[in-house]
Amino acid sequence: MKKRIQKILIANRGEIALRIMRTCREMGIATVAVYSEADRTSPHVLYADEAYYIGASPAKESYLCGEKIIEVAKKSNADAIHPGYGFLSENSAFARMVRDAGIIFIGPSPEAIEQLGDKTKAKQLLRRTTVPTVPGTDEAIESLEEAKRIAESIGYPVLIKAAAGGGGKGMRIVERAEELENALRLAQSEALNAFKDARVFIEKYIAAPRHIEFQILADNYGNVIHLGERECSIQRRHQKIIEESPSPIMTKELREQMGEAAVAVAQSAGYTNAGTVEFLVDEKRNYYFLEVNTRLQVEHPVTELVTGIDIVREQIRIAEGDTLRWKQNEIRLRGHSMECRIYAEDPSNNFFPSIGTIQYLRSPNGVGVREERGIEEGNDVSIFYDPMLAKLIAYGENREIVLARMIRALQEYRIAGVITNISACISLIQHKEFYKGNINTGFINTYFGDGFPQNISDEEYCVSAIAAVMLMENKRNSNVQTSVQQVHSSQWKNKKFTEYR
Amino acid sequence: MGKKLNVLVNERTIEVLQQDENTIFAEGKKYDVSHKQIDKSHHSFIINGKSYEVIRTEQRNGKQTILLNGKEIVTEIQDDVSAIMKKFQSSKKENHNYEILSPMPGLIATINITIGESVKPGTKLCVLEAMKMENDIVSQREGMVKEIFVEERTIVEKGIKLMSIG
Repeated sequence: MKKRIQKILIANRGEIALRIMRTCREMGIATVAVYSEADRTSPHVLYADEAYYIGASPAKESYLCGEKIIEVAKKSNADAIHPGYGFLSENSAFARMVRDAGIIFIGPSPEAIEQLGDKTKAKQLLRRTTVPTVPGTDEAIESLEEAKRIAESIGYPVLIKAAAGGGGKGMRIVERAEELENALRLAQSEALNAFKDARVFIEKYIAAPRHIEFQILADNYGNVIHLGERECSIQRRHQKIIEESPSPIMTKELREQMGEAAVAVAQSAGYTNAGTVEFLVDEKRNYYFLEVNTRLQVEHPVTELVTGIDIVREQIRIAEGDTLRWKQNEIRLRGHSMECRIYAEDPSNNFFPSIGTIQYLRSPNGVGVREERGIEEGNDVSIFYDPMLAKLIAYGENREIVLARMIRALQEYRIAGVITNISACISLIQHKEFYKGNINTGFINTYFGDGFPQNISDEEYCVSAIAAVMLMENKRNSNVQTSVQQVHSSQWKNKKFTEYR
Repeated sequence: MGKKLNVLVNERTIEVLQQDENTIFAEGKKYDVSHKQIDKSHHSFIINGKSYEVIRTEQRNGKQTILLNGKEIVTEIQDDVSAIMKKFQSSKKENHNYEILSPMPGLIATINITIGESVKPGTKLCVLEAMKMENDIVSQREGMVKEIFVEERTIVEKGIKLMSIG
C-alpha cells in the first residue's frame, strides 16, 4: 500500500527551502524547517509550520549535521526529509541514516547516490553502456606522481574535480605541469571542506564546450522519462549564472539522442526520483557525459515552465510510491524559459562575495516572470552560506520575447545593501553573441575577461549630482522639521500640563 | 540667487547650481526637479519630466552612496574646506610598507608565513576561505614580513589589513 506523506522536514535554507515548502502547502503536507543561529528570522523559518534550531551558523555545525536533523525529524514526527540542493543532498551516508531511521528520503536511494553521484564510479558504470564520456581517470587520484603521469598521458590542460558534489567546489583547471601540485592540494582541501570527501579525479579539459543537461524523473518501478534539456553554459568560477530551455542549438534529433542517453544513465544505476544528467557538448555537437546530480537542481524552474510540471510535487509522489504520471511521448515542451541567478557579489571585482544587510528590496513582477527568493529586506547576507540571493525566471513563447522580458525584469529589481550581479546579467543578455545563442562555458572569459565595468551615462552623472544635492538638502530640512516638532510638542505638553493644573 | 557646488560623482566632478527648491543647473543645463522621499532610503525624482528612483544606501564622511538604474554611485559634495582637507590628508600619507588587505570577507584558514620571513612575488601568504571556496592570497612584491595583524581561524571583513611587508 502506498504511504501518503503528512509532514516533511526540509533539510535546507534559503530560496530552495521556501520553494519546497510552497508545494508541500499546496499538497496539504505540513512543513518543518531547521535553522542555524544566523537564520532565526530567515524566510524559510517564518514560512514553515514548525521550526527547530540545529546549531551555530557555520554549515558544519548546523545544516551539515545529519544526526541533528534526523533527531528533529523524529521529534516532530516528520514522515519524510527533503534535502534540497547542496548541504547533505548528495550525501549517501545521510540518505542511508534517514532510511535506517524509518523516514522517507525524498531523492534517490543511497546506493544510486553512491553509484551516480560519485563521478569516478559513474564513469566506470557508463563504460558498459554506449553513453560517451570524457577521457580521464576511472579511479580517484592517490598521489601527486600518479596525477602527473595521468595528466601527461591525456595531455594538458586537465581538470581536477571533486569525486563528490558539484557547484565548482573542489574544481581546478591546470594548464601546465608545474601548477599541478598546488591545484591538487587546493581541490582536495576544498572538496574535504564542502563534501567531507577529499577524493578528486583528473580528466581532459575540453575547451569552450557548452554545458547542456537533461532533467529526468524515475519512479520506483523502472520507469524513467526526461523533461528536455537546459542550457547552462553561462558560468563564472564554474558556477552557473544563466540557464535556459530549450538550448539554442537543440534539434529534435539531438534531443532524442541525448534524452535517451540520460535515461540510459539513470537506468544503469536503478536511479529513482528526480535527477539531472549533465553533458558537455563541443562545437561539432558531440556530447560527452559529465556527471549526474542526484538531487533537485537550482535551475529546475526553467524546466517547470516549459513542461508545466511541478518537479517537487513529482518528487514527493515518487517518494510515496506512485508511478510516473506521464510516458515520454506525453511530455510536451512549450515556449522558452530562462533563469538568472542573482548573487551578492561584485562583478567588477572578480565576483568577490559581498556581505551586508539588505536595506531595500523590491522584486520584479508582471507577465511571464517568476522569482524564487530566500531573503527579505532587513536580512543579513553573511559569509556562512552561498551568496545566491534569488533566482529570476522569465517565460514566453520564444527566446526573443524571453530575452526582452528578462532584461525588463532585471531592470525592475531593486536590491540595496549588498552589491549584486544584476547589471552584469543585463550586460550578458544584451551581448550580441548571447542574443544569437553563440555561447559556451568560456563566454564570460572571452567577452568579459576584463570584468563588467559600470558604464555611467552623462545623464546619470547629472542625475546623481542633482540627487546628491537634493538629498543633502532633504537631510537638513528633516532636521529642521524634527526640531520644530520638538518645540511644538513641548509647548503642547506645557499647555496640557497647565490645563490640568 | 543660488549657490554653486562641485559634486564629485564617482571620479567625475559635476558643477551644480541650485537656483531654488525646484530648479537646478548641472553643467550649465537647467533642470526642473521634483523630489519626494518615499521611505527611509527610497526617493523619487522627476527631472525634466523623466522619472528616476534613487535609493540612498550609505551616508558616511560626507559621502552619499546611491543606487540609480541598478548602478551603485558614490557622490560627494565638495566645498573649499573639504578640498583642502583632502589635499592635506593625501600628502600626509606616505607609507613605504606594502600592506596586504583582505580582498573579500572570509575566514583566515591558514597563515603560511611568519614575521621576519622574506617573500617574493607569488609567495603564498595565507589562505582565505569564503563562501566555501579557498583562495590563496599571494605577495605581489619582494620584501620581509613586518607584521601580521590577523590570526588563523578568524573572520575578516573586506579591506582589513592582514599583514605588512617592508
